[in-house]
Amino acid sequence: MRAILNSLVLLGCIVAGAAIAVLGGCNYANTGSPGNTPNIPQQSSYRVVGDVGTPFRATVSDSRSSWQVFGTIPTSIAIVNDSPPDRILVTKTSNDARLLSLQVIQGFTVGTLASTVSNFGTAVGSIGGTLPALAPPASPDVRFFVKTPLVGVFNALIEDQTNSYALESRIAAVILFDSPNGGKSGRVNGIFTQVSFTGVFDVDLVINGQLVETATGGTTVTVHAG
Amino acid sequence: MGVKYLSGRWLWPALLCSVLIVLWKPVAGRAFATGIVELAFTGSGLAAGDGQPVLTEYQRVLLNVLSVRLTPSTDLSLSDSDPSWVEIPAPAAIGSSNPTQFITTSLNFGGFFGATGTLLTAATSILQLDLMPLQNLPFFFNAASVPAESYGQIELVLDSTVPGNIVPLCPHSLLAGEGCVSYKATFASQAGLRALFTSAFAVPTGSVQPLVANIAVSVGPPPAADPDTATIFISPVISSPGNQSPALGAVTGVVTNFNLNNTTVTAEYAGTNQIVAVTHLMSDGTFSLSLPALAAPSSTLYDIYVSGNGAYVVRSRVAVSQGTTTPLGTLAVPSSTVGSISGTIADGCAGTAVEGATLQLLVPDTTVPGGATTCDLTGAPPVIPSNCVVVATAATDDQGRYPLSGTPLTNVPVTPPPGVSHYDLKIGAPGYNTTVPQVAAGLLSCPTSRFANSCSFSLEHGYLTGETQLSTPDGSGKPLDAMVMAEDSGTDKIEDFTLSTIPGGATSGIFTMAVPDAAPSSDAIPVENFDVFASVQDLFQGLPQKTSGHLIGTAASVRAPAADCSTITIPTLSPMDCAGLGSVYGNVENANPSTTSVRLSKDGVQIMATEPNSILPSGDNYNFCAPSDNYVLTHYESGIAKSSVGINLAKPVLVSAPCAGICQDGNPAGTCLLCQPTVAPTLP
Repeated sequence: MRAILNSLVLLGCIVAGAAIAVLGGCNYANTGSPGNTPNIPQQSSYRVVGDVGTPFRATVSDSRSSWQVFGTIPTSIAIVNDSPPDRILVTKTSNDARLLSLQVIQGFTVGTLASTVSNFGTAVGSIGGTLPALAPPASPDVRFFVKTPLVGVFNALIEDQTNSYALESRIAAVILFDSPNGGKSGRVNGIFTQVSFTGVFDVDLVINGQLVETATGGTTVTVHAG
Repeated sequence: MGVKYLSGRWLWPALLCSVLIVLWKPVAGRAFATGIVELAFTGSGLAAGDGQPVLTEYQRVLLNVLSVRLTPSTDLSLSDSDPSWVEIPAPAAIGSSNPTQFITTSLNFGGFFGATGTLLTAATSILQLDLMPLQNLPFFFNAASVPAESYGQIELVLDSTVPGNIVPLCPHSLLAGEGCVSYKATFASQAGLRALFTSAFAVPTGSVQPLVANIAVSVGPPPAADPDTATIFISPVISSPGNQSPALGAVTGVVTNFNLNNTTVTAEYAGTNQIVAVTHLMSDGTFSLSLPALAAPSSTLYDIYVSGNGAYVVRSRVAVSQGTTTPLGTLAVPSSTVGSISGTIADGCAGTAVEGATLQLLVPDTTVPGGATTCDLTGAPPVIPSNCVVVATAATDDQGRYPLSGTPLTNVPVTPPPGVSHYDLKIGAPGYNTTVPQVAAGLLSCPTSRFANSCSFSLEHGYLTGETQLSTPDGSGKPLDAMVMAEDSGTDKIEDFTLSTIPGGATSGIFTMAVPDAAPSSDAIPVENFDVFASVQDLFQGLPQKTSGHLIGTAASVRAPAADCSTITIPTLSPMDCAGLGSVYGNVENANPSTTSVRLSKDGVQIMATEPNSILPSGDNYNFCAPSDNYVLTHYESGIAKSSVGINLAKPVLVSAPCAGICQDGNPAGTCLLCQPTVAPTLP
């Protein structure tokens, strides 16, 4: 039975891949040379985990921009169009003994782990070298909030007018888009797809603190601005 | 989460494959009858390699745990790839508050994805296990469904790249690495990662089996060089008695008027919303919760509540000790339909959304003799009655809205328990006065809400502004970022924090933060005075560190803003010059892990406290890492000061290059500060 299932899954992947290739796929960027897009260096992301529901405030900085992120455990934070080195400082905002654990991830590997159980305890991490001081606040400050379903995994394409970035994460997640369109005005969008439908999708796009678009839907939702 | 730059053409086949793999995996795993293993760790046997008490040489010892594996085989040389291994992975910590497993712990709500997960690209889940408090209080790791059979051995799987992280105290010799900074651990021996159960560990079909695994670790010697070249050796040894779990305490009872699918029993640490475990009921309505607890005569206090079908049933401050069973008797659930509590939380001054505010629904335990029958604030200063239990929690989203779908406030009984007229909702966020409005029975709306038929509130606060300073500009010429914290005066209860940046070449930086004010409305808690302190975020060899080498800036007993939205300017904090690191260790007499703490203060401002349950009853040791300076150490019992002693953390010594310094970026003088240990007198 297991061997048959294995074969079906493999066959499905091959057929689907072939079909999409024949149809030309969905090109959001690099249309002149599809299939030959070079990979950029491994990007950075963070997971704040531990006791579910513990509130925290994170200060995240790369060499160009910094952000304050509020949330509760568990939350994933990713910077797209990252400009390393990065530094992150996560502080519990509760006076209790709950565990907050910070995982700094480069590519798909946990690079740094730090934890705290203290009142307003802090966990710190860095990646990609030394960032001597925190960068100025991001401008524009473009964030995607993926809020529900709380038991879920999604894939996303985050795009500006020249580049697209693919990522996969658990929900809840905050995606920080550093300097889209070179820091100038222009279109940004995000296409979010649940890996397996587990509930209603709820995604916000917030720019400079203002809610620009909210999307609620089933398997796939899109938010955009500009 | 992984991020990769791709063209769209390659993404969609990958997405489709991931969906198929996710759909396929559960099907493949349905072949076995199963039971549930509820795994907890204990940590007796943590020792320094040189025989010294571990707390005299190390501040923190953390293991990076990937999973625990079980196999029926008793062959300790069994291949890692043998198919008989079953795995209890580190929890993925995904965010549902609705238990989907029979047993749910605070770390695994909603389940787990497995050690490698169903994700195509996400990093493996790792749990960082703090071995200091683990010596006193067991820690729930995860619960998992496994094939129902008898198991012969257990294996601890640690991260192969970095199996642990260790912070040593300041070194006793000069040929050593810097202390009070984080080092990576490496295995001195992996021979102890597998062990036979002392008696077989049986998991009958459909049962829930608590399993306690003890981790003993030999640590050291202390590093002979800095973290870029040195690591600290560890030799972890796992052991487990199998089905006997004397390290846990049990709470039992029987629930009447239940729904087998929905009714759950939740245990959380008393007076908090820190859920430790949730369980469904057996078919006859009985339940048994195995909980981490201190050894008798000490005990750990839990709040217990029944929810999911009908009104809440709560029991507050239930004492649980290791190896004992605490019966709760019959818990009769009154009938009730359910509704939702919803609204928005806004800043009372700016009108903007408050993101990440926490809301806790409170119900009093009316079985406590003389206990309150509501959770309205009482007394002066106002507090929440001690017999109140948090039965549901929510947090606001990026727009200040709550609740998210599927969270507990969407499923609240409209009828409070008998004898309780209304619920109360505790609403808090850093920088705001905590407010506790009433929630009416029936409609589940708040009479004092900003908007009708909801529980929407504007949180009150004032502002606190001031300056951080250096005596002379920092030698590096680069900006310094200092974290400024405001806490209730004379306590370690922190209200808010912010960052203050001292520009390169300058001697001062400014800061402003929201703080609770002294005269909020009647259902909010005022704060009269604050203690304020600031700690520079230092790097060591380019990596950020928790402990600063700069002096901690302080300002004690500053007045709170007099009214909502008003601002108070406080005196400039004391200078935060570079002093280097220091450490102190000592003993406290007759320590009880559940009630004893030691706090380090400077100029009357409490800076740091020992971690909960981290003081060992055998040896009574504690320690701190802090900038080299003068402090006061105070012994607290249940939050009440018992004795104090002044202490001067030894000045660091100068060592020659090549070297690295905590606050001497670039090593301008050609020498570095190497921190030195200090021994404190015994605290009575």
